[in-house]
Amino acid sequence: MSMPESGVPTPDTPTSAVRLTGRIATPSRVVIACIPVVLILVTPFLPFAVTPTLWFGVPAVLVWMALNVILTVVLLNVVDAGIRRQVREHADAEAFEGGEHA
Amino acid sequence: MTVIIICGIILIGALGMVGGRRREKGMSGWLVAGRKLPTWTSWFLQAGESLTTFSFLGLAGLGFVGGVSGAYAVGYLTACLCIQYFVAPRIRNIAASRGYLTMADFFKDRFRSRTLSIIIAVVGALFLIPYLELQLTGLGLIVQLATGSQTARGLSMVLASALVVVFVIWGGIRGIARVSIFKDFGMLIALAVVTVGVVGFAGGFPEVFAAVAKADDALFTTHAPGFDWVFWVSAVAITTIGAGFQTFPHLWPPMLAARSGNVLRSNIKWLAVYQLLLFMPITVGMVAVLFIPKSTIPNQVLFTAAQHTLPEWLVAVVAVFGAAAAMVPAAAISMGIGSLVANNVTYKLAERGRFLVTRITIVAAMVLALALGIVKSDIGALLLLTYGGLAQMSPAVAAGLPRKVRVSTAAVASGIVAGVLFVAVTTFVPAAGLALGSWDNGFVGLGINVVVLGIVEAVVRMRRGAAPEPVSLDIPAEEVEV
Repeated sequence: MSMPESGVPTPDTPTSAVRLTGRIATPSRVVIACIPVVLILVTPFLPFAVTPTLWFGVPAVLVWMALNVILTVVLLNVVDAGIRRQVREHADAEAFEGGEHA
Repeated sequence: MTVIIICGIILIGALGMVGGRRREKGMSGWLVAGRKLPTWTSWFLQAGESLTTFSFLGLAGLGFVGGVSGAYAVGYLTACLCIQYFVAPRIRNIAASRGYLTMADFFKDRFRSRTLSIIIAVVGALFLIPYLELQLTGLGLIVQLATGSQTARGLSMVLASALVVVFVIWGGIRGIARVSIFKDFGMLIALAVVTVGVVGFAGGFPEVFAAVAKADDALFTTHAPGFDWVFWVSAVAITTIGAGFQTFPHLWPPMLAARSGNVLRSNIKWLAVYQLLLFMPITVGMVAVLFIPKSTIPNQVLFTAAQHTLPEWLVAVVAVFGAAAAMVPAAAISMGIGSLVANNVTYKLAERGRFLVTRITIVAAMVLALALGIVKSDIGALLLLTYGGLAQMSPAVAAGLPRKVRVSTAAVASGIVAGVLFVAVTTFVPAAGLALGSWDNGFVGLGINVVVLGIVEAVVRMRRGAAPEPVSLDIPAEEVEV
């Protein structure tokens, strides 16, 4: 698949794939992705993990960990959407500049 | 019952061989599928490590002994994805542009050191042997518990080992992917069947947890006897770091085989949902407190509970899926051992020769692990060395990810040696291990590793009078599908 570094797809390449310029692991994305890591690590210090607790008839720690699993999926999808948005905007800007020069 | 299980094991082995277009003959095609695996195939390979014999036997045992503390496994398997999301695609892209086939290739190229790559290959292969033995022992235990036959245990271990060798050599990474699909759906069914059976037998949700609370309410805290916050934090942290930075060599072929970094990211952002399955064996272990003796060996809890609550034929079906949970990781581990030895120790051989060495090493590793498993060699301590020891490579992996590697080989190697030595001493010298209390020795070892790395790097820079010239690579920008 041929692709110029500019980020603009050439006619022989699928328009759905664009070369990413810039970093993926930006500080803000890493911080967002690490929120569940911190929440999982602090679990034994939370009140419901120190004393026997049931939520909805289920051990509170199990409910908490399940919520962390779901939160991980949500936050990684948020980060992923940000990366795709960055790539789209870059491709649009390059296409616009290419049009101006033409 | 033994017949059902043996037929199931043969079916699993056959799945690894049939369905493939042809026998894989080239090293790249066999090991990393020409780096062309699509999203769904990669998904099952990436998820493979989440569901192993540990999920079947170990987690139920942890739930039985430590209650909700068993959820620490859900914690690290989820948390590591937050690191993998950034690390795995990066490694895959560097590997694709530089032609790596193994983890040791990464170290050789990024740190410009053949010696380092040989050390990583030898240490990695040796550390994986106990992990391979664990899978075979787990398989044997599942069959023994289901059938009550010691003979069936040994027979199933030999048969499964032989089939794994054949399907790995024949089908390579694609063969493992085919069996992984069967294993994952099977595990889902098996865990659901056992959970419904055990919980239903004990009174159903949510009453069953109220009964468990009456029997032993300490199981509902992370501070049950033998478990505390130190255990939780240090065990979750070290395993998250180790798995996040992909320090298990056998996990590299599935990662490098993905068609793009984008494929890995697309999967990793959803992979955490797999961990929801792990609440089932933990629940089974906790509920089993109500009707099986507290003296039961933890690893035997799940099948002991299943035999109390399920018909015999259903226990046999569960055992077949449990066998798959052992055979898939065993296949990936043996492939990882073989490729490390062939590609990075006998690197002077031509590709055909290296491929032959790979196959011979796979057979040798499997025979060694099988022998250790059949004589019931206690290699629990070695397994601790596997987890804690391999995690010591995480600072080196992290240092190799940027375009320019700014840390010297001496610093990285010194850190790894210091960390591994600490883990080894605290594993094999009981007094040293006891002094650590609940702290995970791999976690403490990683701290020592980083300190030594920093000191050696400072000394190297002082002697040179300046920072060493960084090793820079021309890594093409990544393609992202939008």
